[in-house]
Amino acid sequence: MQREQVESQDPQDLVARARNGDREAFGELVRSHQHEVYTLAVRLVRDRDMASDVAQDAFVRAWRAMPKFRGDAKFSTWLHRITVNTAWTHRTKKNRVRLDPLDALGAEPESALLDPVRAGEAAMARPEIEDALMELTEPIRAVVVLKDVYDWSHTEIAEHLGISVTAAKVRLHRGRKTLRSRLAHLRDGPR
Amino acid sequence: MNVLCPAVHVALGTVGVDAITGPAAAHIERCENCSVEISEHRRIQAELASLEPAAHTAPSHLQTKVMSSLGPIAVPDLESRGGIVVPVAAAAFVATAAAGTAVLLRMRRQSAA
Repeated sequence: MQREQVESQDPQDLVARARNGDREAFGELVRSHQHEVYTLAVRLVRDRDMASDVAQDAFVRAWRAMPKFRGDAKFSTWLHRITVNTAWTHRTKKNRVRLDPLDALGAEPESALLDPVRAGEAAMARPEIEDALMELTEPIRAVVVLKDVYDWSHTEIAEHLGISVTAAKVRLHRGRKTLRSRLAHLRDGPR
Repeated sequence: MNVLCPAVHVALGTVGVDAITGPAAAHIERCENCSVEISEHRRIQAELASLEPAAHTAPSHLQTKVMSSLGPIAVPDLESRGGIVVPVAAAAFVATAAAGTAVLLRMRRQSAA
């Protein structure tokens, strides 16, 4: 997996220049953050094409909001929040999954969206865990990804996903339980 | 299975592994089932936390598409934008208030006549 080499430029300088409308600086930021933004989008929406749209839209929103970025958080953290909001907007537009009814949480994953070839790409990185994550239903996966992979607080997750803190905790628990059973073979060894 | 085992499982889903205290915490130390449950939770958490932040490679056209979607106008600086927006908003408010007053006065005159 080859990736273009990012020039070693001071990220803070790039952010400062981008805040003043420097497109070239923003382009560098896109180049250096595109894979992590796209990865987060894939983990949230699963569908690769939609994830690409989400990543593109997130960067455009970030460009528009650059003047509001005060540097209180890391640029990547700020970008992640925008990506989550964008993913949720896209998800709502597509109306793929109902959010709140708890019944929907136990629904079967949308297996039709899983592309075996593309799933194989993820499998090269961390096969079983990425695959097990992708098999979770969307509302549960979003909480598990944000809490356990990106270390968000329950409050942040609830706020960004438009759910209660309790709902976030319940989903996390369900997600971890499901992952535990799906990843049990890793602990027990091959059967 | 102890009577406290279900309480531990509920606590796992509500307060999280590290926030379990009191009798439930004391129970975990003695109960093999609950200890296994907790260690499994921790293992899953550790596995997830170790995932690569950039595990998936973005499509090669992503950056080009982003840059072509930014629009030709550079982002204005917040201070200068605020400096323009506030007086314009104030002027609009004054103009609206003046127009409303004029209309009210006219209606009052008409009803008086």
